[in-house]
Amino acid sequence: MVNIIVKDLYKRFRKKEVLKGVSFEAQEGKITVLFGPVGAGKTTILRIIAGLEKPDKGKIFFGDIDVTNIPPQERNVGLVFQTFALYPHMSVYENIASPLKAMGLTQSEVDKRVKWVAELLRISNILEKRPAEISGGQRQRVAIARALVKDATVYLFDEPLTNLDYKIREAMRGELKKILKERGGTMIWATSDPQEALALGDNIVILYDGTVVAQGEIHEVYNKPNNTIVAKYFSYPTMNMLEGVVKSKGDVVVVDLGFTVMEIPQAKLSLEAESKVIVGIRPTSIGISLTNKRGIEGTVLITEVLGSETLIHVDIEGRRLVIYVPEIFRIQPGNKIWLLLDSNQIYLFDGLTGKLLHAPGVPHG
Amino acid sequence: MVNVLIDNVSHTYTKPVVTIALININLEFKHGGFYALLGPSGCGKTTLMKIIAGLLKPTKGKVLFDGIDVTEWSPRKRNVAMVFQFPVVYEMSVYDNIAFPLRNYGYGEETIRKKVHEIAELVGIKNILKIHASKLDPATRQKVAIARALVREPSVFLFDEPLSNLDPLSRMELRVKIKELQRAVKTTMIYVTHDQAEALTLADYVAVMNEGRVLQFDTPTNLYEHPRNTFVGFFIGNPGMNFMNCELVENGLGCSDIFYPLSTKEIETIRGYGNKFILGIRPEYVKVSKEQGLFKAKCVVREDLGAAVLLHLETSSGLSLKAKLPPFINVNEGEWLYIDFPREKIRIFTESGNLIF
Repeated sequence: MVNIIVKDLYKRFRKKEVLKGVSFEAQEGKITVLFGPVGAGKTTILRIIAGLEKPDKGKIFFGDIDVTNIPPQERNVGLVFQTFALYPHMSVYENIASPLKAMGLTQSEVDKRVKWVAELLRISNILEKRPAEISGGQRQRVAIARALVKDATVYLFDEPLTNLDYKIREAMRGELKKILKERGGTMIWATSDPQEALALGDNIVILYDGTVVAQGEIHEVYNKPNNTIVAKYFSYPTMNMLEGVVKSKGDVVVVDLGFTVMEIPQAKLSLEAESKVIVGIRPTSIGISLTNKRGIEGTVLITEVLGSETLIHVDIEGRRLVIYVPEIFRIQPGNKIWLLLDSNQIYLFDGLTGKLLHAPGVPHG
Repeated sequence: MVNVLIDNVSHTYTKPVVTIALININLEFKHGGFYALLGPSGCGKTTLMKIIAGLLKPTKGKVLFDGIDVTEWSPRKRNVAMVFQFPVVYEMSVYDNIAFPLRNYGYGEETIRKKVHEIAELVGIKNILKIHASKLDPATRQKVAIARALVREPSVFLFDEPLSNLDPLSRMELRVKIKELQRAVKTTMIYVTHDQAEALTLADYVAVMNEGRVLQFDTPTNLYEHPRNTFVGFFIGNPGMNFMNCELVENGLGCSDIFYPLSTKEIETIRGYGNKFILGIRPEYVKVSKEQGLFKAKCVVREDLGAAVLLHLETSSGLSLKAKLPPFINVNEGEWLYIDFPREKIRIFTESGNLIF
């Protein structure tokens, strides 16, 4: 078990520059989430760490050892891909045992390990079956088991839950953290799903267009997104962003949003009057009122019921705000609704650079 | 706009092996409504959609459009439009993609121009009409595919998991777009998905399917509050309902180390169904407290999900359940908590999983 250090990686495929100087460290014993939208460069980085791809520039260290030029079979990496290939002619048991046999372990040692990992992933009852006889969710468990069965230096996961049905994904997400922690080791998990990232990760590295835009302890990054890109992609539900103009400076920052003026009490900032800002409001920090008409008036555009939660899209003088309600909530489009914006829960970003200027304190329950 | 009636449809595939895909399906999709077929892989939802489209002839039963038997009709004669999981765009400009079906129907260029612009405006792709479709990202391609399907003014619009291949943010954006489109065009739409968020957001009525059957055809609220059986209770909700096997005892239900008291009237109601039951409660209705409750459970996993926190709880006898709470709740893994179930939120099912109340 060692730290994995990714140092200043550059990679170009034909005309497209996929990585533009990526550096981060994945600590031993931790799950590091490699997060970013499709095309951010996540898969390329994992392939370079595994040795399946060579960087144009930059280095990979496993602890103190520079492995940049070491072939993949000598790196001892456990890998799980989004589309997972199992050997169709082998049983589940043989599929999981295959990397161990290649290492030359004794039969009894192989058997012990396969049974241990099968127990961990709760697939002990299907060990004799062939891949064609089990469900998609079970096949992905087998693929994960095959990666976890050996003592690898690092385990790499390339969006392994993305192709699974929603319900299987939801069930596995909760279980996987426990499984990965029990396995132990250095883990890098790539995903574009903020909920999956939050549920699994200890640390996060956020990629956007081939560069690292944020990294650190996952809840810290979530609560203090250092720019608008991080806030937009790594938030669930997606943070509302509104353009505003600073109206006064001094102890209290006052921002004009057009439809309302907000005082941001605890913001200790020196902002010039008339400077442009972006106000970030999480859908979870907006209250609603339907009858007593307190707050800002808006018109319901649409409601999205997400199982047990609802997102209400509201139009306020041509701007769209999304509100999260933790229950099923039906309101017809066109109806009036009144919004209560909590000025203690506001984020401020620089209107030109997108950099974070102010984040609310994290409340304690 | 048509009314689509599925009249006692069954389907069995004979290749590669004999597989029963649909069993006695009866459904009515009314003019201009938005419907979803929701279920896990292999539940029969795609087979049913192919039968509605005319891509597959059912082994038994009929499909009626406005009362006319169309079972033998081709997709073209039925005038159905389809959008698939992988967006199909042609190697030409966005404008030409949308104009394609209209040119096939022999419309004049002036009419085509008007219609293409109208649809492009509606779908939100007016500013990219001149761009070559192959240069677009997957979400925008899907918008082009939707625009091309809409421009023909189909009788029925069928979607087969159109958002499954998009990243989460684009998926959320396009989901809202499709909902807005349906409000604007009022075509009968049927949407196939395994993702409940899509089904519940978009549809007025959802058919929850499993193993070739429709288990409940209902509004999202009813599916959530009154699931007709344990499968629907599990499949709807994120995560689904908690279930506990229990037995009827003196004056309530006993689930291993939990005792849940019932009123005399409630006991009278369930007594006729035997003495074994399943108690169901949604994770968001589970009450968690540090001071008092019905029983104690340990938090074994805490999942932070942004808008909520999900606690995986376990009682000393090994009974497990989940509770969904607001973010920032002050609970740690390993902590023992008091749990309670609000009276009006519990649901009782028979041993075989059918709702009693």
